[in-house]
Amino acid sequence: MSSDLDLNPFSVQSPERIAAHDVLSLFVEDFADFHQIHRAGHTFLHGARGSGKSMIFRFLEPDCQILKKKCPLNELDFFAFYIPIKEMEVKLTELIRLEMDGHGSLPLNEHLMTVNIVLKMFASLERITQSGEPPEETTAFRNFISDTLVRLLKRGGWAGVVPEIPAEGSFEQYRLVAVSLLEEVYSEISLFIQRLSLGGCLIYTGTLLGFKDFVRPVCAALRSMPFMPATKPFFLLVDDADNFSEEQTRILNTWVSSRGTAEISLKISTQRRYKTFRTISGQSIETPHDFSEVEISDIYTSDRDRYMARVESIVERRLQLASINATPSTFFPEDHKQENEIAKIAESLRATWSESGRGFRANDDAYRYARPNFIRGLHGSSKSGSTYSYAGFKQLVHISSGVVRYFLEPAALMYGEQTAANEGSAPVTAIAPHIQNKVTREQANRFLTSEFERIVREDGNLGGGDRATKLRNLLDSLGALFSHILMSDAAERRVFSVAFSNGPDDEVREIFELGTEYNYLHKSSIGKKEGAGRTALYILSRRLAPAFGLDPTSFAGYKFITNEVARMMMLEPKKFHNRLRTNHIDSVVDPAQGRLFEEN
Amino acid sequence: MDFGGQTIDAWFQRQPSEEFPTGFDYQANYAALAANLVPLHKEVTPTANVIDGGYLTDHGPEHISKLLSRISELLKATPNPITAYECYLLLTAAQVHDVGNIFGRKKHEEKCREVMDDNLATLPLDAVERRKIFEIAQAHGGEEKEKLSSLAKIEHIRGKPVRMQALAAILKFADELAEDSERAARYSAKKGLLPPTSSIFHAYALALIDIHLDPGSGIIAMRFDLKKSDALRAFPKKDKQGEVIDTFLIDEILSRTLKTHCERVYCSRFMRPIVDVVGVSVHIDVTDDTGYTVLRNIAYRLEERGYPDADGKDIYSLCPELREWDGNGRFDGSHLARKLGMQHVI
Repeated sequence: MSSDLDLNPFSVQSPERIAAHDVLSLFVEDFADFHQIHRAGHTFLHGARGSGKSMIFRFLEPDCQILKKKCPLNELDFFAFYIPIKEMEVKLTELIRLEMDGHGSLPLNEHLMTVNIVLKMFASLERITQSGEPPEETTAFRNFISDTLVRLLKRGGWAGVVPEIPAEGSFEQYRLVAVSLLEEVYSEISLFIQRLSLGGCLIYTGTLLGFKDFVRPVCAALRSMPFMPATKPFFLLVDDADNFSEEQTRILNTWVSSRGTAEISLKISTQRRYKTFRTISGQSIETPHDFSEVEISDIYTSDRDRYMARVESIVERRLQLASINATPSTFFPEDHKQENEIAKIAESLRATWSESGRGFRANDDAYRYARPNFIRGLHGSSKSGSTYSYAGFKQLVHISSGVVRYFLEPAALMYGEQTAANEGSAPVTAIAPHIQNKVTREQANRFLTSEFERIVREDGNLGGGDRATKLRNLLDSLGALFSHILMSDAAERRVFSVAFSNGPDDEVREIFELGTEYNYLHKSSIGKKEGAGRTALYILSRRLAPAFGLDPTSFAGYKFITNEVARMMMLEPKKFHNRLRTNHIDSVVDPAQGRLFEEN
Repeated sequence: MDFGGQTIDAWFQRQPSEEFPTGFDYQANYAALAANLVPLHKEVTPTANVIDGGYLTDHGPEHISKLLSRISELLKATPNPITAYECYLLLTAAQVHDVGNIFGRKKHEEKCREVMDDNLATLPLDAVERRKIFEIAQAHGGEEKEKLSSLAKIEHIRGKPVRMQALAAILKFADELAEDSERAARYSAKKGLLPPTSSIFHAYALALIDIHLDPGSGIIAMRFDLKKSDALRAFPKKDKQGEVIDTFLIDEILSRTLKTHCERVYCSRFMRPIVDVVGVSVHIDVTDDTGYTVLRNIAYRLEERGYPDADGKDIYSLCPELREWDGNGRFDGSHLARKLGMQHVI
């Protein structure tokens, strides 16, 4: 196991840096609903930051696949190249001058992307070396570099000097030659762009490469290597494609729209900030015609049991790797005192159900009201919900809101605190509930404060104006609304979502979408209140549950609100809070409606 | 646009230099490139014949002249159809579009790049401009049919807007129309000296005596004239799998005019509103072998009709007049042969 994991079984590493055998140990394969990812064909993989996209890509890389399949490289079902897109490498601000001055920004952007991607492909081939089984027969790879690669570069206008290529070299030596050739081409375009920034001449006389005339033939030539799976597809795993500029995104979409997925399949991950699905000619690429689409967060937020099982498997594996003899539930125990109290309330609800019950079965009432009643009781005694303990494996999974990293990162912090609490005298075999609760509350507050400041900065830099302030007002208002409902005597008190009974207008939608972009809200859909069609449902991230004293264990309940109320939440939060205090909730959020909870 | 009775290259040379980006004499360099390529164009057909073993129809300087003439015809119906700079890119692409055949027919559209690299002195210094010329040129052919949609609709090159899709479509469709009897090896065909599987292509070109655009109606008129003996002859032709099959010249005409229709429909998507061609009208005269007496004439028009639910691959679904030709069922080569009342002459 790598050193980070040795120190802390929950440490979150960049998947790029995890060794293949650790990936196999840590990765929970769950391709049932996203089988398109490891099949030929272009695929978009959408998911929030930390939802596991990069880990899926890492798992598809050849060094992991040969371990999993226990076969040599040339017997793999596909060969994948990992292509992380770093904003600094492709979004060179000087390129904007090309667009402004109207000179060839499309071909120069395509060239930059092409060189960047093929450079990453050659870098990615290092995995073969790392796998411990680099090909012994390297003549073909050498010939590929000296013949095909050099020929293709020259065809693209490259006038550099071919470096010395040793006759009897190792695979790694040859790979480095290929990398150095591409680096030279990359530096050529970089220098041109730097000259642009200094007001240099717009005439570009360097190499010019593209997808069809470079990426494709390079892949075709690589596929013919004896150590490659000759007839199987190549995957280019383009990670974080949101980092492409809009023009680059259109170029990538044009590649997607081109046929030939049997040879190259583009697997493109995004954080839902993908700029456009239009090509350079203005046409749209569409699913399923041009690509398949997987929304990781949807899969997990719409199927909580499945997400729970997945996190459980991940934690089990990490505990095993750290030689900790515990199950996830015993490692993250509940606050037993609190759970006993809740159990007593549940029992009381069952006992009184025949007289004062509200659900169809006694157990329904126990499940639905015991925990909210407990939280309400805490408020009644101390005027604060802060003594509620957010501990216990299941509760922590709920709070992680369908994103694995939001479980692992706090877990790593808890492990650190527990290690300190044990003063090194005893190995950590469980995390004390008070530590779980403390870290979970701190993380929720951090999410709402310091992390939010980043959004204020980012969105401000992007010309978003006061959008971040409106979003913050909206989140506070939603938190207050849900807290009020939890404390109320309503039939469903565990409400985490809102839908619109009218609207929303563009301004309101924009702020809700901003919240979705930064994971403060999740977006789903429900049937419209009037019955025809569907409308957007916005679910507050349960990472915020501790910040607002909410019960994170359910998100079944939702509330219809009007556009006018949403505007009040964003623009006049004090007015909204005052109204909540002095009026019945129904008359505040959806005054036009007679009923509040229209659950399907 | 009125080209004053000349072709578009003459119009291009008359344009003021302010119409072009600075730093490169586009007009002088185009003239130099065109002149430099004449000897190479002359070599294209014979060299390709040696490499591929067949006998190509003419791809020499006359083909380029014909192509420029077709481009001019397509553009003259519209006032100010393209800018002087776009014209430069189009003309240069036209000059190089087929030169790749000198390395063999396969992927010839991509091989023009090599010839361009050999003529850098007369091409723009900027790699982007050269690539745009290449992209317009290479979109005219190749195994991949759907190339135009991968080009940008409008791109800015050296500060000038360039309608890439439209330019490439104009070149592609003009090339489709740059076919007529002048491209055929007339004497060799007459004497039976051509490789058997090439002869049908020359027979087709020889039969195509006129092709022109009627600017008023937007109709391409294609006129064929073939002798009875040629109509009755079954030509050996390789199909896509390489199998040699006997093919009547009429069937070749049906197939090729249908392809012209498909090219028109496809290219029109990208040429409009610069060029608007609405149909292809085909007129075939079958004469006796003296050529003086017309024995049969066949006419049909290929155009979009009614609701577009036909798959467009079957000429009979597009041309109802061919379904019941002469009151005796589908018109095709064997039908015509029966009508002419003779045995096959091979």
